[in-house]
Amino acid sequence: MRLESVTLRSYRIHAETTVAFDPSRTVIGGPNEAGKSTIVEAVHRALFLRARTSGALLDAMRSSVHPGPPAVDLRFEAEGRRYTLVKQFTGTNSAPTTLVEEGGATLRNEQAEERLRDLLDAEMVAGQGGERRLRMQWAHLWVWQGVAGHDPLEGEPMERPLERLSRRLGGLQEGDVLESPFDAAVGAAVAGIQAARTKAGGAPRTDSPLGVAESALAAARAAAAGARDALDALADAVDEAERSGRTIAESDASLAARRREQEDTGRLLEEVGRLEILRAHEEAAAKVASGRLGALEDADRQILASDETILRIEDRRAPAVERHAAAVLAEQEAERRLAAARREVDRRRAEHDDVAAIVEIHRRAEHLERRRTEREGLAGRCARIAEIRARLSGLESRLAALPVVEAADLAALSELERKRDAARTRVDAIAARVELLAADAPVTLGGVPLGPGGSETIGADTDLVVGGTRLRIAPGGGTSLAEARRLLDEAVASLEARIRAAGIADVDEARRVQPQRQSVASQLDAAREAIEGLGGASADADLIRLDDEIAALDSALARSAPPGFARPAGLGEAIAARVAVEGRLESLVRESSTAAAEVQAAERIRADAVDERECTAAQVRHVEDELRTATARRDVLVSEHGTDRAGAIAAARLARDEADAALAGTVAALSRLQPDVLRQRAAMLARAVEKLTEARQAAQAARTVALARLRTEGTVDPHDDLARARAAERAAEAAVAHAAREARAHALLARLFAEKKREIEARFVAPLVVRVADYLRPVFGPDVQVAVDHADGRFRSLVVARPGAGAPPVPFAALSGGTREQVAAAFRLAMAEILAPDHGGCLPVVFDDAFVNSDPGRTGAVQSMLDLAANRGLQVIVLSCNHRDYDPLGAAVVELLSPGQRASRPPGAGSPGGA
Amino acid sequence: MVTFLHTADWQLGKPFSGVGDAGKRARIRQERFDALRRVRDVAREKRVAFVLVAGDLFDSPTPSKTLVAQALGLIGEIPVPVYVIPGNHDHGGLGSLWEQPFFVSEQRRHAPGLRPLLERRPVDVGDAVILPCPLLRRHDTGDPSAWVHDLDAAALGDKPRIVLAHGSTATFGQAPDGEDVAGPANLIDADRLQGPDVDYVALGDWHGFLEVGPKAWYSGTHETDRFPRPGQRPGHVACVTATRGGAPAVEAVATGRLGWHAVSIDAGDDAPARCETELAAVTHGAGFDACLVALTLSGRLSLGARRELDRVIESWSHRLLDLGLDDRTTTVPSAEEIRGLVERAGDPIVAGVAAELVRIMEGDPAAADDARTAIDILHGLCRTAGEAGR
Repeated sequence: MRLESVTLRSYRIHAETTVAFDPSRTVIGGPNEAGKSTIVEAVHRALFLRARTSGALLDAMRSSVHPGPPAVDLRFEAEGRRYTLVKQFTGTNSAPTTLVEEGGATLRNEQAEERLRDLLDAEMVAGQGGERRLRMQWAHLWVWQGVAGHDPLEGEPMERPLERLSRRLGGLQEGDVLESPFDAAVGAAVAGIQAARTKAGGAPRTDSPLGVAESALAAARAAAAGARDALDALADAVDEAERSGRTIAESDASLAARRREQEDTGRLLEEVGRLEILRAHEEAAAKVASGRLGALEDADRQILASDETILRIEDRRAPAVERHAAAVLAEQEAERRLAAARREVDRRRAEHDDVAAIVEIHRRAEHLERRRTEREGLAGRCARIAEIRARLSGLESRLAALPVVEAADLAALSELERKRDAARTRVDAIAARVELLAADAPVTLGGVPLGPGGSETIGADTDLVVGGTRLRIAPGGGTSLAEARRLLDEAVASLEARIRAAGIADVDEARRVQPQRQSVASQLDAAREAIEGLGGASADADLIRLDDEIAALDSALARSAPPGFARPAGLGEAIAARVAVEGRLESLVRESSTAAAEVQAAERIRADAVDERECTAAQVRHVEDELRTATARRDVLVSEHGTDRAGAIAAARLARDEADAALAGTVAALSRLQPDVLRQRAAMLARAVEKLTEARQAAQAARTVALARLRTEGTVDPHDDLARARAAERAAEAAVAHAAREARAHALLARLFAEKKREIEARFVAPLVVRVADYLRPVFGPDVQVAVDHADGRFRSLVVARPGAGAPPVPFAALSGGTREQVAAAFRLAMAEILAPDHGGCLPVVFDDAFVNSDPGRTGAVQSMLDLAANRGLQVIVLSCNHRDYDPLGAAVVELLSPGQRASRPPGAGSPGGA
Repeated sequence: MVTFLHTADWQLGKPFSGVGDAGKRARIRQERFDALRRVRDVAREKRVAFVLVAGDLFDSPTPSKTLVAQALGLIGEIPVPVYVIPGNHDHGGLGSLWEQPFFVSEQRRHAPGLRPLLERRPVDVGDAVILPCPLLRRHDTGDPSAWVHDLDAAALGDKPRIVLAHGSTATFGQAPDGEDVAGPANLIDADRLQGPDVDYVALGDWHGFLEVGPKAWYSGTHETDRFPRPGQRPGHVACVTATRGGAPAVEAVATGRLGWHAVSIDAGDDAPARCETELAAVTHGAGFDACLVALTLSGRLSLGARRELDRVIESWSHRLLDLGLDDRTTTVPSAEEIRGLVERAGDPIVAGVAAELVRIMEGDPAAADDARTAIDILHGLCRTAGEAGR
C-alpha cells in the first residue's frame, strides 16, 4: 500500500490543500500551525474513519473559517491497483464515500468502506470510543506526535499490529518452528505438574506424590521400628526371665555355702570372745598393780620435789619483804610533801579572796564617782533648757502680734490682685473717647452736654444727642464692655474680701507681714529643737533620779568599806586605786596556780608510792601463799604415804609383775586365734550373704516383672504388627522409588520443554531482530544486537546490546529519550518491512516530529535508517518544522505555509502542490 | 491300630502383610479358620481317634486374645482330642502363649479336648503313644526329636508309637518351607526316627503334603497360604492308620479352598490380552474372588500396550483376592509411537522434546530409565491434550 496524494477541503485550517507523496521518501515541512499533522491525520481518517462519524471527532475536523463539511480525497495504490478515495464527513448516515478503482468499479458508501477495510486489513471506526479505536489502526505505521519514544511492545494500540507481526513471523519460518497450541497445552501441563510437585529449589512438595511417598515411608519406618522395639521388648523379657532364673539358682547355691562358713567362723569367734573378756580382766588387774606402784613412786618423787620447792620459795621471800618496807617509807614521805603543798594553796586562796573584796569596794567607789560626774553634766543641760524656754515665750508673743498672713495667703492675694488688674486693663481697652470738634446744635453725651473741644471717654453704652439726633455709642461693639466691667467688679470684690479676712489694709501689707511671720516661726522652731536636743522635758526628771542613785551608792559604799578605806577624791583617783588593787589580784591568781601545780605533782608522787607499796605487799603475800601451799602439799603427801615409802614401793612392784605375766598368756592365746582375721571373714561373709540375698531378691523381682511382661495384654500380636509394618515399609520404599523415578522424569520433561521453547522463540524472532539491528546499525555501529522475547504469542522485553562497546545489554525503558525514539523507529520500520508483503510489498510509515529528542549528531544516522527503509520498499513520510534538516535524505519536500503566509498569497495560489 | 488325622502349620493369624488390601487380607486370614471346620468334618467323616497338630497352630508366639479365643472355639468343635506341639512360629518356653492365663482359661472352657504337649516325654493317649517333640524356642540348634532315641522302647508297650515333631528333615535338605529359616535349626533326623520302635512320624513345617519316608510324612498346611512350588500339595490333612510294628496307611484329604496360582507371561504388545486369557483360565475353578495370583510379566511393551496392560492389571488386582505382580517388562515406545511424538510437524516443541528423550533413552543406560518414564508421561499428556483438543 502506497500513498500517492491527498486533498483536504474545509478541514480545519485547510480550505483546500493537496499534497502529493513521493513513492519512497516525503518530507512535509512548514512552521508550527501550518497544518502538517492535519495532513497525515486527514489521510489516517480517510482510511479508517467512517464518513458518517459525528460528534466530537467530526467537530474537531471541521473548519472554523471554511464553509462546508470536511472532505478528503485520497489517491493510493494497494495490491497493485490504484484507488481514489473520496470521503465527505457530513456526520449523517448519507455521508458520501466513494472508492474508485482505476480501470475498475466505483464503490460507494458502505460498499466502499467494506472494500477499504479489506484492502487495509483494519477496522473502519465509527461511534462510541472512536478516538481510541482510531488510534489503534496502523499504530505501528503512524508515529503520532508524542509517541515516538514509547516502547513499541507496550500499549493497547500496538497489540493488534504485534499480533499480525507474530503471525507473519510464523509464516516466515522455514518449517513449523512456532509453538503450537498443542505445544502450549502440553508444555503448560508439564510445567503445571512440575510446579505443583516441586518447590522453587527443586525439592518435592509435601503434597506431591514423592513428598507423600516419602512421608509415608518415614511413617512406615517409624511404625516398623516401633513394632521391632515392641518385639525386642518381649525377647528381652524372655532373656531377662531366663537370666534372672539362673541368677536365683546361683544365688541360692552360693548362699548355702556362705552360711556354712559363717557357722564355722562363729564358733571360733565365741572362743575369741571368752579370751577377750579374760584379757580385759587381767588388763584391769595389771593396770591396778602398775597404778599402785606408779602412785607410790610418784608420791615419793613429789615429796622430794616439794622440799626443794619450799626451799626455793623461802629464798625469794626475804627480798620481797625488804622492798615492801622501803615502799612504805616512800609513801609516808610523799604524804608529808602533799600536805605541805596543800597548805600553801589554802593560804594563797585566802589572800586572793581578801584582795578580791577590796577590788569590789574600789569598783563601787569608781561607779559612784562616775555617777557624780554624770550628774554635773545633766544639771548644766537643765539650766540651758530654762534659758531657751524664756526666749521661746518672747518669740511666741511676737508672732501672735502679727496679722495671720501665711505664704499661701500671700500667694492667693497676689493672684486676686493680678486678676483685678487684668480685668481693669480690659475695661480700659474697650472704652471709647468722644471728642466734639464743632457743633451747630447742642450736643449731649450720655445725657451730659458736650461742647466743642470737649471730650469724654465712655466705657459703656452711651447716648449721643446732637440736636434732634440721638445716637447710641456702644464701646467694644456690643455687650463685651459690660461683661468686662462685671468681671472687674467681681475681681475687686474678691480681693477686698480676702484682704478683709486677713486683717490687713492691702496687699502690700500682706507682702510685708508674711516674711516677718516666717522669720519668727523659724526662730521658734530652732528654739524647740534646741530644747529637744538637750533632753527636753525628761532632763529634770533624770536629774532627780540620778541624785537618788548617787545617795544610795554613797550609803552602800559607806557600809561595805573596811575600816581605814580611803575614799578616792574624784573619778580619776577612783580608777587609779581600782587598777592598782586589780593588779595585785592578778598576781595572786598566778601564785595560786603555781601552788596548785605543786599539789598535783605531790599527789602523783604519793600515788606512785602507794602503788609501789601495794605491789610489794602483793609480792610478799604471793610468796607467802606459795610457801604455805608447798608446805601443806608436802605435809599431805607425807601423811598419806608414811615414812616407809621404799618398802611399799618394792611390794607394789612385785604385784605388778605377776599381773603382767597372766595377761601375756591370755594375749598369746588370742593372737593364735587371729581375731581380726576372724572378724574380717565374718564381716565378709555377712556382706556376701547380704549381697547374695539382694541379688536374689532383685533377680526374683526382675523375673516377676519379665514374666508379667510376657503375660501380654493380648489385644495385639506384636509379631503380626511387625510383619505388617515390614510389609508397609517395603511397600512405602517401592512407592518412593516409583515416585522418585516419576519426579525425575517430570523434572527432565520440564527442563527439556523450557529449553526447546527458548530455542524456538529465538528462532522465531530472528527475522525481526535482524531487521531491527539492520536499521540501528547506522546509528549504533556494526556490532549492535537486538533481542526480543517472544513467549505465549506475546513479544516482551526489547533489549539493545553493543558488545563492542563493552556495555551490558540495555532494556528499552532504560535508554535515553532520543535513543528510545531511534530504537522504536527501527522496530516500527522492521515491523513494516515484515508486514509489507501482505500489502503489496509496501507500507507507508509516518513520522510526525518523531525525532525531536534525538542528538543533532545522530540526524544523519537517523536519515540513513529512513533511507534504508525506503530502499527496502517502504514509503517513508516525515513531518518536521525544520525540513532542511532532512535535505540529506534526498526526499521530496512539501512545504506548507503558516496561516499568515497563506493569507498574504494571491487567491488561487492555495495548494502547496506536491512532490 | 489307630486312625487319626495328621495336620500341621495352621498358622492361624498369619498376617498376609504382602496383601495390600486390608479387607482382602482379613478374608484370607479368615479362610484359615474356616478351613478348620473342614478339618472337623473330615475327623467326623473318617471317625478318627484323635487329631495331631505337628506345630505352628498359631502364626505367632504372641497371638491376640481375639485370635486365641476364635481358634479355641473352632478347635472345641472337633469331636475328638486334639494333640498339639509348639512349632517354630508358636514356640513354647518362658512366657509363651501356651502358658498365658488367657489361653489356659479359654482352652479349659471352650476346647477341653485340646492338649498342648509341652514336654518331651511319652504321652499315652489310649490307642497310641505319642512321642512329642515340642519346640521351646524359635530356632533350636539341636534335633528336637533326639530324646526319642534314648527311650526305653520296651517300656512303651504295644500301642502304635507316633512321633510328633516340627522342623526340617535331611530328606529335603535344609531348605524347608519355613519362610524365615535362619540356618540349620530344628533339623530332625527322620531316617533315624523311622526305626522299628516308631510306627509313624507326624511332621510339620513343610506346607505341602509330602512323604519323607515309609513312616514319615509332612501333612502340609490345611489351607494353602502361599504360592506352591511345583509338585507341592498344600491344602490337605493326612488321615493315618498306624499299627504297632506295621507300615502306616496314609491318605491325603483336601481341606483347602483358596486358589494360589503363580502365572508367568512373557509377551510383547499382546501382554494385555494374554493376561486376560490366562488369569481367567487359572481362576476358573475356585472363582476369581477366592484366588491369589503371583503374576510374573516379562517382555517389551509399547507405551500403548503398557497402558492397556496397566488397565487389565488394575482390573484383576481388584477382582482377585490378591494379585502380586513381578513386573520385569520393559516399556519402550514403539517406532510408531516415537513417530507419533517426534514427527509432529505442527508441534515443534513436543516433537523436539520427544526426540531428545529418545536420544537419552538410547544413550546412557543410567539416564534411560528416567527418559523412558518421561516419554511415557509425555505420551500420556499428549493423549490428554489431544483428547482435550478434539
